Amino acid sequence: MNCLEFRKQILAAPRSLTPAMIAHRGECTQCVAFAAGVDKLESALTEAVLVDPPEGLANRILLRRSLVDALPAVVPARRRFLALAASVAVATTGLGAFLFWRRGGQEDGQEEGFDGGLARELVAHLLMRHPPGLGAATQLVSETEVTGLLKRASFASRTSLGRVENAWPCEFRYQPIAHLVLPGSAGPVTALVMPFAVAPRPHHFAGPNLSGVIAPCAHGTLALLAESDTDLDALAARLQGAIVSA
Amino acid sequence: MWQKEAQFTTLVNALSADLYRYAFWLCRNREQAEDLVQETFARAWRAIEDLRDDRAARAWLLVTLRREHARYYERERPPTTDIDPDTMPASRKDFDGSTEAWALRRELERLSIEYSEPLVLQVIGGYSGDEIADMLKLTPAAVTTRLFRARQQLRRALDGEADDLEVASL
Repeated sequence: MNCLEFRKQILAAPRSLTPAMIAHRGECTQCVAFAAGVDKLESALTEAVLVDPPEGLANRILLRRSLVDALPAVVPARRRFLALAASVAVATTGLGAFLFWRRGGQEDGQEEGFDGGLARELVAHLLMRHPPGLGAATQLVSETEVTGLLKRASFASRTSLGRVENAWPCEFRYQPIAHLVLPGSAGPVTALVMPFAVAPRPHHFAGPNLSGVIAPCAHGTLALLAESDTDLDALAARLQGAIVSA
Repeated sequence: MWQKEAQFTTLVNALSADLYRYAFWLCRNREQAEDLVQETFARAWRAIEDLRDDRAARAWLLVTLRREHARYYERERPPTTDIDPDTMPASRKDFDGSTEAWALRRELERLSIEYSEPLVLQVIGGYSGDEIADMLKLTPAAVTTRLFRARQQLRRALDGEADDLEVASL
């Protein structure tokens, strides 16, 4: 083995020295120094690559699995109280919730146009990424900022959305959605506006200290989540009236 | 069912951190990296019966995550984070924030994906060139070349032009 071969091989696999490489290193003082430099680089590289995962990542993965698995695959055939959806223990936040899935429709059976899988994922996303009250603040978000966020998610506002206490861009299923925090009648409400059609009519979910609604909004969907008994239907109606397709 | 749960939990606890690191260096965006990991484990749950062998499961997860990333990339060119190496947390608390470490991370960020991906798989996953070639659908020779060039570029960043001479002059 010559020096060029040695250096190319050690740069390609510094932790896997072949007998020929070890032999060359033993007899070439220049390559000994080169190998020491590569070894130093490799140690630093290992440290550099090992970025910290976000805190609670494993718990959130397990939570999502339990939520998606536990929530009903279809909307069961009952009028008022349709399904016990999930019992969830979130180790990181201590949030425990029983979710109940309700529907406003009259007819039995699975509602046409209702994407149960998407709805379940959406609820899981809401609980994990947008817990109620997250981002509630006294500082208002300007209408320009709200308009920009809605535009990013393919929406526009026909009239003002009213007071918006916080707002962020977010992604769901790899598509941009708008995350807004608005004041409700009894506390902050998380609102997600997304360009997915989930349900042709409002669907409610609830649990201890949690209530939510998924409703159609322009060409997409509006999801609201609150910690309290805020009147979500009124807020949903207001937002549905204000938000239009871009 | 509980066995499936236990197996899945073991898998998540053992591999989610490394999977996140791979995702992060693929997309260089923390939020998207977590989404990719979530999607990957959602798929893993559905295929859990086939993931009994730990090493095979690890490779399966990495390849699945890579596909998820490619799927996302096909739809839109995602925003990448302009990573500030000063604020990038290291897994070890005693990681030194020296100029060398800063430069290395910055250069790692600047590596093109074709160089950084096999490098990250090798460093994080401990995979051989042949295994990486299999995962990335490349020839072993192509992987060797990319790994060599990736490290050469990193050395150049740390040691300056003098290092170029060390290999190029041979």
